[in-house]
Amino acid sequence: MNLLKQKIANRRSGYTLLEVMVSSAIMSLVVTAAMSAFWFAGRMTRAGGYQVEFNAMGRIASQKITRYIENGRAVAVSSNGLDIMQVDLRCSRLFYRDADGDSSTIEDNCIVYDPDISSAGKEKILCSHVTPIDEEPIFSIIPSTPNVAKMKFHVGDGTNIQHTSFSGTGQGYQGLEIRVSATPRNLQRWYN
Amino acid sequence: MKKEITLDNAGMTLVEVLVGMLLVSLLVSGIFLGVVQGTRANYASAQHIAAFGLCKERIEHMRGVAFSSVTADNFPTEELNLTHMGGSQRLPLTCSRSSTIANLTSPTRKAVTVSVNWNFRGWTLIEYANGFIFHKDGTAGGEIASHSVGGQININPNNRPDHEFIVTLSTGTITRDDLHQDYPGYSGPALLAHLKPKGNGNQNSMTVDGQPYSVNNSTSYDIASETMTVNIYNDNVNPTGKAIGKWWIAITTDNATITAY
Repeated sequence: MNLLKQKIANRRSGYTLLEVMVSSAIMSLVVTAAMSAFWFAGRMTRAGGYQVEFNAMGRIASQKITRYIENGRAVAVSSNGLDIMQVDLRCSRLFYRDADGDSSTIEDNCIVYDPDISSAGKEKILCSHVTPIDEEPIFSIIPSTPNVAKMKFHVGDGTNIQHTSFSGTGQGYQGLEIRVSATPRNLQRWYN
Repeated sequence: MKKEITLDNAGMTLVEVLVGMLLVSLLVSGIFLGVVQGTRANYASAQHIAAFGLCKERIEHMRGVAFSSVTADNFPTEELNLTHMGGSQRLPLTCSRSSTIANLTSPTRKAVTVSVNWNFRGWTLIEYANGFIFHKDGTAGGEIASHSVGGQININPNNRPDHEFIVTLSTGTITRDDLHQDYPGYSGPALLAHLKPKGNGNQNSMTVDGQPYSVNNSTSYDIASETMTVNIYNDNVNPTGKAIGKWWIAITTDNATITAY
């Protein structure tokens, strides 16, 4: 009977208050560190995902722009954008469009291709999330060349505000600078 | 009746806990390292895209200037902004762009390699592009001969797509539709003139390489040059405006290609 009482007494011996507080503090530190690490990893993963998206957008846009220019016969830069004279003397145009007129909302800042400026409704968006670089013109002709078109723009997060619809990884953080240079080289004749 | 209550007080030893934590730490560290390296490679990929754009820009520049101008002196090594390092400040990431140019013969051409080097978080990265620049005139095969062109042509107001008048400037285009009564004309540099002559007989006011050059009214012409000056004017100004059929273009250039079709 004495043995049973002794064992029951042993079972009731728990942690002291000091032990509980110290272990709780240590556990809090560990959990906080783990949560921070997972938050950091999640943010990096999300940022990397958006960077992949921007890379793809920029690469596809530059390939299409190069093809449009090289398919043309001559190019000229105006305040409207880059005019491309096609083999059939149709005039196409690459231009920058900010749909809401607010450059800080980058979702609607696009590079657009109009295959024929004489008829509306055929415009195609080549790339969104576009901003000019260092206030330089997006479209230009390389100096001392007559006909080499050059485009320079940024694809990615805006610089001013954090966006939530697509990016949201930080102000101006993700993105890449795209430079496209091409010469119209389609010298085929047009027959009807 | 004697019932024994046993207590399981045997927990993990300190060594077991430490070893377990070490293994978990190694696993988590590996995952984080993978995420960091993947993200870094992702940014490096974006930088390669930007660097290739810089390479191609220089090759296109070389293709656009005179063959004799494609020299190491004209295309030296230079420091440029490649892209940015992120953050709201978009701190620039700089690079070095250089090129090598080798003269080749049969046919006359230049082999060029443009390379862009930069450093990114301890990595030395490079992107490059190769190309050949061919002689645009002379004896090499496949070039277009250039001529000095002068004179003026009465413009046919024909609006068929293959005959319609159009002049491409570095700042835009002038088309037949611009030649309305209130159009003041244009005088200045141009890149390309596409036109069809007009008149009862063939016009013979043009000269090519100093010799008279008769233009055919049934033919359309493309005259392209890096150094062309045109003057588009109307010789029938009257109180009711400028007649559409009286528009002329005067052309002056020392280095033009003429395509007739």
